Amino acid sequence: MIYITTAMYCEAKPFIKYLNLKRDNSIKKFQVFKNEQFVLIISGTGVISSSIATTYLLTEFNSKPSDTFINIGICGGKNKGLDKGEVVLCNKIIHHDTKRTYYSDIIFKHPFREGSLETFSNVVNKDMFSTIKGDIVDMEGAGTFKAASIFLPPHRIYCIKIVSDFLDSESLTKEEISKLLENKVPLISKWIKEIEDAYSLSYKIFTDEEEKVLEIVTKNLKLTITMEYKLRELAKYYKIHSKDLIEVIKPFLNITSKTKKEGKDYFERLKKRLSPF
Amino acid sequence: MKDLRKDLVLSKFSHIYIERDAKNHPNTRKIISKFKDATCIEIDHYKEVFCRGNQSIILQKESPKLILATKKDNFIYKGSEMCEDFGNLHFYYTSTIMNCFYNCEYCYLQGMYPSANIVIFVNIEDIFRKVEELLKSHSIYLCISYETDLLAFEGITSFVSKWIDFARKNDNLKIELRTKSGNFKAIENIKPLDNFILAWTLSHDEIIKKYEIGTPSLETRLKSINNAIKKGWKIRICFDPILYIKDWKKYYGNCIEETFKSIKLKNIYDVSIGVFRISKDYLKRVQKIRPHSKILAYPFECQSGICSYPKRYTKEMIEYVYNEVSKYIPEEKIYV
Ligand code: SF4
Repeated sequence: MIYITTAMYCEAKPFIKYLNLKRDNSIKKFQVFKNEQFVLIISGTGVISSSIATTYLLTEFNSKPSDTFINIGICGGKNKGLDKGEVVLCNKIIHHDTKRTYYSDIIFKHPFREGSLETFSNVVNKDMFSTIKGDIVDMEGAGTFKAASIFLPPHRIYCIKIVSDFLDSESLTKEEISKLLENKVPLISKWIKEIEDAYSLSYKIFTDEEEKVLEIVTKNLKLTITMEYKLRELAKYYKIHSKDLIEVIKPFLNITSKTKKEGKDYFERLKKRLSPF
Repeated sequence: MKDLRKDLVLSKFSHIYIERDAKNHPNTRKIISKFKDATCIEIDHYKEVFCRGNQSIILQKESPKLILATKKDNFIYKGSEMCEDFGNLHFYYTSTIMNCFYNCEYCYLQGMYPSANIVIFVNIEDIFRKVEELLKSHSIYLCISYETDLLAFEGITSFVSKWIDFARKNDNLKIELRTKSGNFKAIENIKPLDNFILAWTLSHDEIIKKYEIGTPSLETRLKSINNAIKKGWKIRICFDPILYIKDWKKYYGNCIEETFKSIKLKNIYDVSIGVFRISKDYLKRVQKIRPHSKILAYPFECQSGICSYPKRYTKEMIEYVYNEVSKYIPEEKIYV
């Protein structure tokens, strides 16, 4: 699943349209839009609002470590080398108030420019120029990153910002913001989908059927907790060596031990069978 | 398990994180100059990046980043009980680099560090100072390549050359440099030293291909050893860790035969043999990182916090390798 937060509806609108997201009317506390692959939440402006919305989103939808989270929105550019409308993938996020820093793990190739983002609690203008450490500034990035870090690994958390002004109090209308983002949405969406599919490691070793067989044997042979642990360890080793686990355990499925001693004897026999070489 | 789309992954060292304190160090400038296309990001302390929660070591191994930092404390550590001291009384180790280029499936560093990114401590001169202080009270046996493969990084850091220079000035210091690399050529023009041991870890090519990903073949390692011998260096050969895998006897037997048939025995300082062992805590973490690993899924036995194969297997493997090695090397030069 891919999770997106934006601060304002006008930033979300081009994504809602492009990805054909539908409003989830069961959620009243936030505006949430989704399809099978994406869930987008509108957080409201500011560090606290954005971290609350991120936490809500990733909790409510039972996020997994293989999911991807992206905070998208407009930003002010300090660095004159940037162009209006340029997309910046943030490789460092500084929370101006606390000076805490956050880093995405940039492992996947991307088509964007990279830069550092500084998140402020209030609107930044030219007078504050000398205090700004980031290449770009916003009011949400650090909040979303910190919240998302509780749930996801750093290579699954990104802040993508689109430069809308150069702190020169040029304020854009909502329509202008949507327009600015509109052109970038296909590129950003394509990249997110690509990296979402790039890699996912399955931690599951046993199939459901194998789990069931192990459970039956454990119960029937009256194995102690230590024996059960050992059985699962041996079964894993056997399975990983590409052996047919069900086949080797099958003869024990219909055995029920009446005493602990009997269980122990059967367990020893089972252990021998599970030795892979 | 879904495969990683390698075409989507950035190249190694695409990003270099640099501590503000390390920014102007000459070693930093030298290292950065080797990666002209890298994105450099300034940081306050290496732990901001290195110690983030939930990092994926498996993915980072595909695209490791460099972190250049200054070491402020813990310049030198007492040698661990799990490591052979080769009869040396004052056994220490030090790490100027944390983590490794290579990707050995059994590497304990995966369990030790929260990240696979590579930290280089650029202020090596501060470590020299600390060692000099200790040398005033006694001689020292120092391992400099335990938590990395220092020779593999020589083209980037030149740290091995610096250590050799340092050892040349301090003859009560004995250094061991352990490596799997084939990079002897990086130091081949340096005059050999009596108090500097080049130690190569060797494995059969099947094991290298399957479990020591990214490391040079046995032939390449042996070539490096032969060149080092020709130049007059003292060589230690390490068959460690020996892995309990199917047909282990065949693999280790062949590897030992190939080794001693292709290298000149005269400069072999000694041979070290050890089976795979790892601390219980690290093992738990490494097993979590590589849930499908054939070697790590072994039902190990743990004693006093250290996990290894059952005693009877350990004994059998050590005895076999010892006997094979002793066909070529006098027993007093074999350490178990
Ligand atoms: S060469 Fe050594 S340090 Fe490097 S990955 Fe392999 S075991 Fe680890």
